[in-house]
Amino acid sequence: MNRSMFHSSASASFHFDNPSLQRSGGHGSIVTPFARALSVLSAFTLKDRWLGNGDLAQRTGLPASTVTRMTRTLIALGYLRCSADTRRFCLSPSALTLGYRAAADTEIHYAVNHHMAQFAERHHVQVHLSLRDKFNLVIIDSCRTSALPALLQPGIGTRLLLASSAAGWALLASLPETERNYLLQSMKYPPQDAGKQIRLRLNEAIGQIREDGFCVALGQSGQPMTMVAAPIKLSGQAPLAVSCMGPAMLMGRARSVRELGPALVRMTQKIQHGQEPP
Amino acid sequence: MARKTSERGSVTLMTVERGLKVLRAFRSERASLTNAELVRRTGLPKAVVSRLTSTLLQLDFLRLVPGKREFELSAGALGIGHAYLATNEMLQTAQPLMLELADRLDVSVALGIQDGIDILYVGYRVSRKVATLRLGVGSILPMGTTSIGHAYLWALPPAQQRQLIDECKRWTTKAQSGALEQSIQASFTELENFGVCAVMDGFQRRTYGVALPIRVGRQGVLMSMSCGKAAVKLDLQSERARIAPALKEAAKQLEATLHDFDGYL
Repeated sequence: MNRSMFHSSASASFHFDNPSLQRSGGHGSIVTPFARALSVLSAFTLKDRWLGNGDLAQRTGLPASTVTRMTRTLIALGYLRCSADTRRFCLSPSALTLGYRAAADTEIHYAVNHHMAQFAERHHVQVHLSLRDKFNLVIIDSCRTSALPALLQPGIGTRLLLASSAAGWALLASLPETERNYLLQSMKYPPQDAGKQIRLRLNEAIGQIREDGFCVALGQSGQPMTMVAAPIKLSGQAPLAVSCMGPAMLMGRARSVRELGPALVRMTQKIQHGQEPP
Repeated sequence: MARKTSERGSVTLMTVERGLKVLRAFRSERASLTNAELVRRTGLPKAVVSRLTSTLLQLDFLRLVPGKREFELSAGALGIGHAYLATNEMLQTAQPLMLELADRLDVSVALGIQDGIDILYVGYRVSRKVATLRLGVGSILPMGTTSIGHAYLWALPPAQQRQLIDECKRWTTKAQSGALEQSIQASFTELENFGVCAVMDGFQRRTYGVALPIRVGRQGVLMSMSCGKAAVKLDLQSERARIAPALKEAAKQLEATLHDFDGYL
């Protein structure tokens, strides 16, 4: 998986010195031990069942002694289990009681999944459904295609940076302007040119979505996958985006703009009108 | 020094426990709750609850319902749950068998474990033909009123079984408590006679479940497995007869398939 595009999976956990967590304005102060415990739980990813104290400290940005206190606490409460040698930890089934189902398994998700599976099959691309989580997007559903090796296809729960992925642009485009501006101002960008480049691309993409209903991030050196994305707006739901992805050599500009983009838009229209797939 | 460390540990424990209690008070459901309702459900002081909900808002485990002073579950726990499920080989291995059974019987198939006086679904597959009864992995169902809960209770050692039944009854009114005991005992008799129990309207109205206990892995971890469906007009007995043989067969296969796993869930 390409790390430059996929906000490394380790960052599925929020690093504790993330400034957005320490901002005490807005919602009021934070209950620090609780936030730390959640960040330890969030440090586990799809790739690692077992993590040691060192891994947890690195991923959460917490001091080792704090991590030890947190793992002890979470073991006592039944959310973590430790290995026989007591050096490594893994999540317990109670990890599922913290709201997983509500996020993963909504009615809409079921309806959309059918459309996505059909799309993946017909166009031989991977299809994602994602929503925004602070400055990231989270993939909440994914339909893989057998035309691509599974390793290249990011799984559910993967986070990407909002500002530098097509699905993120689609999510940003569907926000009210004031909310979008606030987010864009609060985001951290790479310094100088790189940051300027990102903002430029983002504005361009939002323009494209207004015009055509979708946007395209073409694969290039260092990022060999192309992504095409479109927003979905459903009443009473947080904005969602559907996107499809494939290697740049199979998803060039022409195919993305003429075939996949319009097909994605048609799919979102069907979803928005609550149509069952044929 | 050691004392100071342990004091700090117990304060942390209490704070984290309270925070998780607030999060769990949503019972994995989409329904939105106010601070007042969370106070009622958790029994925690109002000021504590509002600091915890504000923390959960900032970490994106909760979000505010637009235009209301109500919270609903957000994407925060998604990654945690997925990490757990994706890395649990035993549950992954169980999936194809569950799907096969679901498709064969046109039902949903669930694997559950104990979570307090509830059953937590750790596995769930639904037949493509079942349109209703959309409870997924992570669903939390009451142990005392569902077939999957009764099957779990039945397999427990007597003392533990009694204790848990009493605990379930403690949360009901006196009138309900008698009915609860009766329905649990009826399920136990069924399990003894047929190896499965069938319960109607256990959790969602007009649904039924047929369940049995299984023991998996080298540790023989107790789980419960059920087939469920929405039922408009149906004869529970004949559904039980239809489902029981296939469910028992699948349970046997599952136990055999998972036999060599370390057995921890």
